[in-house]
Amino acid sequence: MNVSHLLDTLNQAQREAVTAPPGHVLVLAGAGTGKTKVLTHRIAWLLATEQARAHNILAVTFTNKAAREMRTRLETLLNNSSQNLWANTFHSIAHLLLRNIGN
Amino acid sequence: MGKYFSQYCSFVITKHWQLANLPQTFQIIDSDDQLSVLKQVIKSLELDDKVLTPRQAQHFINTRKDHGLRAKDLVAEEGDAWHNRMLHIYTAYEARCQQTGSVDFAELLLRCYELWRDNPSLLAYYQQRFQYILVDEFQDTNPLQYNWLQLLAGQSGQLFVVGDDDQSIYGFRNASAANLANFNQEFPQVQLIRLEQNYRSTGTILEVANTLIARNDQRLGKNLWTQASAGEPIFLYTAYSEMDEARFVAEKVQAYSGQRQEMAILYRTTAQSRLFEEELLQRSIPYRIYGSLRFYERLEIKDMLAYLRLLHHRDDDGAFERIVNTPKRGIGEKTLETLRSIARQQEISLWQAAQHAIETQQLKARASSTLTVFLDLIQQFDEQIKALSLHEKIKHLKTYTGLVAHYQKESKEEAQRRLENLDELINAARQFEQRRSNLPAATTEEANPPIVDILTEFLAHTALEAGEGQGNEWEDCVQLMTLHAAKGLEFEMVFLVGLEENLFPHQNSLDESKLEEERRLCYVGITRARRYLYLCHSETRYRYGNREFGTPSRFIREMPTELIQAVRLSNSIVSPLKSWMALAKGKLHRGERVKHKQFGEGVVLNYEGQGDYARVQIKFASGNKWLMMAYAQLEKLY
Repeated sequence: MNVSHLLDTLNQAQREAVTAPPGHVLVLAGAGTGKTKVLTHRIAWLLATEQARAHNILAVTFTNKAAREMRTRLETLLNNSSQNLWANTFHSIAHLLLRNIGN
Repeated sequence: MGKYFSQYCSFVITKHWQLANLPQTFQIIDSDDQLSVLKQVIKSLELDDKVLTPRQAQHFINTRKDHGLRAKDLVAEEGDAWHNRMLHIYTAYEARCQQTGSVDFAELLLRCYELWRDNPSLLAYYQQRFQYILVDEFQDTNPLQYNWLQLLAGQSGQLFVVGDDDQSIYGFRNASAANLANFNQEFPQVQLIRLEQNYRSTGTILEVANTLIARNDQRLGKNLWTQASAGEPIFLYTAYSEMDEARFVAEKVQAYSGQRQEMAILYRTTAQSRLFEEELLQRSIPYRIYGSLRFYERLEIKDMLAYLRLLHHRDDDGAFERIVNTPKRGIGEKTLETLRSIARQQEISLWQAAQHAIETQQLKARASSTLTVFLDLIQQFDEQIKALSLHEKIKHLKTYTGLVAHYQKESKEEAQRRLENLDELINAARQFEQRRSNLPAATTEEANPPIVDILTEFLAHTALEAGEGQGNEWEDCVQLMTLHAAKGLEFEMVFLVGLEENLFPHQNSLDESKLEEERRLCYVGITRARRYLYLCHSETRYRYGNREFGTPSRFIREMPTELIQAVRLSNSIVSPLKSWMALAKGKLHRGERVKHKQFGEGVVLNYEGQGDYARVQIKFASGNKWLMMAYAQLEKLY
């Protein structure tokens, strides 16, 4: 699969983060360095390279606004193949889990 | 898919809410609901909710939950009665919520954490499902969120966390700035990647930010850079007074040719907004306060003004309604309803209705006596403050109304904000008096209307200021906000104001650990700016109604001086002086020499106010003097 569109607009450090090999990653992202871009492109990368399915991904934010922005950006990047993907706040995720929704 | 399917089947019948010991119909309660539950709980325990307030209990409980601690995990502490009662309330609150199936925000996550912790097979299912966990703003995580993520990741999950330890500014919400460093150490083989190329600010702005934040010890460390040019220098304005600071900023805002919404005025405490609001209103510049109300619309300001209004005019029903039971003095809705009905029938004010109801014994004995106490209180205040100046009146009321204690029942941060606003109201009154005392006395030949008393004028002033100004949705407004509210936003031009010791860094945050968070707050402020950054501080400032000398913030000293350009006084355009300038037939600059008929030669130090209120401070041989510009008849010397 062609993934160049996910990487072409990134600088070297961003690309390194987006394509990081399996394991834990800590991205120390200063103000105005494109952190949301890195987060969304990382998800798109995991899906595009078939390392993960949307079902296996959990994206956690602090505010509903940030969650919305992430979902919107993902939809643009992925052409709506992000439907099974959980991108939400800590509270919402805990709520969904307790209600047994999404299984 | 097969292996997931079998796992899936075994859990679809296992109802998570049951495992978590919740009814299927469990309800999420928000912060306000939580408070009212706590209120009932405190009452049912027969504790005094004036001493142990719902707000304090809420803070106590949520903080414990954010650390994953239940009431049973806590122990009573000998000699700490307050702690032990809070613990008691926590226990009863948990029981109450369990009984009613209520789940507060902090509880959601704690429940979920315990559900996983106590059900290993369920946890294993989710660990297998959520192999890839991504977390935004990791520096804002509290200990429970950190543990929740750790539990879910288990041995095989992969965590991809993004954050900036330099922008961790929510310590008061239990966020732990150390979580980023902990993550790096506690999780195996973490790949640390730094994003340092910045796409927002000029090189100069970044260098100033980098230099400042390098002073902090507790950080992983990084250095922002940009391909963009160095851009403009950082401008530093040293104001003579906080009024002068506000005026300087307003002038810059007015002179800016781009969109106003691209400009932000950032301050440390909400109380600081007042002067900027006043200055912007006078110039008819639309503004919006982001994340808060306008000064004169804030609850505590309206409460205090209601006291002044009622004292000034007993028939002010709006004021009466607002404060008759603020702070709580046991005057209930039923009593008020009786008063309203009397007032309607007899076409009199609530105050008169209250007197009438007491005289004619239309109220129950208890209601009558509490109401009498209130009426007497207002009469006493009237006697006590009659001879006081305006700002002393407010000071007196602040001390004796019980409003301070009333607000202190809220969380510490909230209470402090309200008290700072009340102090700012005292400053506002003080400045109002000064301006007024410089007005010329009306001469007999002039057809001036009789000057009304200062309280009437002040109340009118506050009402007018409250009534307009905050821009409409569609209007292009300059943005005012606290530094905390500014996180995540960016602007073409940023004014960082009130950079003085004890204000920023705040006087409550001068110990080492809190100081680092203050410095991060400053760093957040600086990095909001794309092109222009103005730093402002004032040499003097009214605090608690007194003019105090301030020291420039240590944060200014910690920035590279070669990148900072002081705004030269002679460059500033002295627009408030227009009327006087016309008389003087020339431009007036600070530092220029003038001559006064009586006082002789002097140097212009400062000016404030506009139009008829405009006045100028001059250093004469005999000392510094404030003079009304319209009447001073100064002669300019070259």
